[in-house]
Amino acid sequence: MKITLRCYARFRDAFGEEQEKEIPEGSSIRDAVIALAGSGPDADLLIDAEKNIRSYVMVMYKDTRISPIDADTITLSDNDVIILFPPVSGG
Amino acid sequence: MVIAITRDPIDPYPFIESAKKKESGGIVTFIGTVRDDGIDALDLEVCEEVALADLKTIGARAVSEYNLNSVDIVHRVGRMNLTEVIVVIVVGASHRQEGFAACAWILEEIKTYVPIWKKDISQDGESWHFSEEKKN
Repeated sequence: MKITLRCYARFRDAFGEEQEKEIPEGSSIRDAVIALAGSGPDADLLIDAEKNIRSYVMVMYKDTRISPIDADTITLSDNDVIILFPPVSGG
Repeated sequence: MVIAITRDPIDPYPFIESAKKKESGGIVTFIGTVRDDGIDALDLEVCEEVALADLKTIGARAVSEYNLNSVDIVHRVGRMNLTEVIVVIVVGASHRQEGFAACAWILEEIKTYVPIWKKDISQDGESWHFSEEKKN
């Protein structure tokens, strides 16, 4: 199935503004983020050595913030969109 | 209540004037500006659809939880030079305690989760504010 991942700020510089990924049916948000991270030098911006999403990554899915801890429990559907925010610095 | 994100310079004074109400005994204002940390400018990026909704939620919660008479939050994005205004928070309250507390709370909420990001612009290049200690 096809998933779109959209990134902002520091993450956009590393992974592009928007990427489509083909991932297996039944994949989770965590699986999609792992696919985006790949194995390049910036992968550890998104995932740790155990391939868990780093705690500072803000994940938006269907207009809701998803804790990285819960990213493995949410199963994606075809054409879903995931938004990834780095740590914010407004104000 | 004015809640807005703008790319234009912000004049805080109209918001202070409009916060003057008979029932308010104090107007607390926070004006965030571009500080010289060895930079030439800041460039702020936003996910506007989410950030604006977040600011509206924060404003409504502040009114409710701190019993405010008014609140305005205006955040600027885009490129800003030193000393330019980044954000204005104007809170009108019956009493100073609620006003000070609400203004501080609003700012901390913005800094905690509203999707806005600062990038330093200097002669050495550009770099995002990215909290490395949050990596672990």
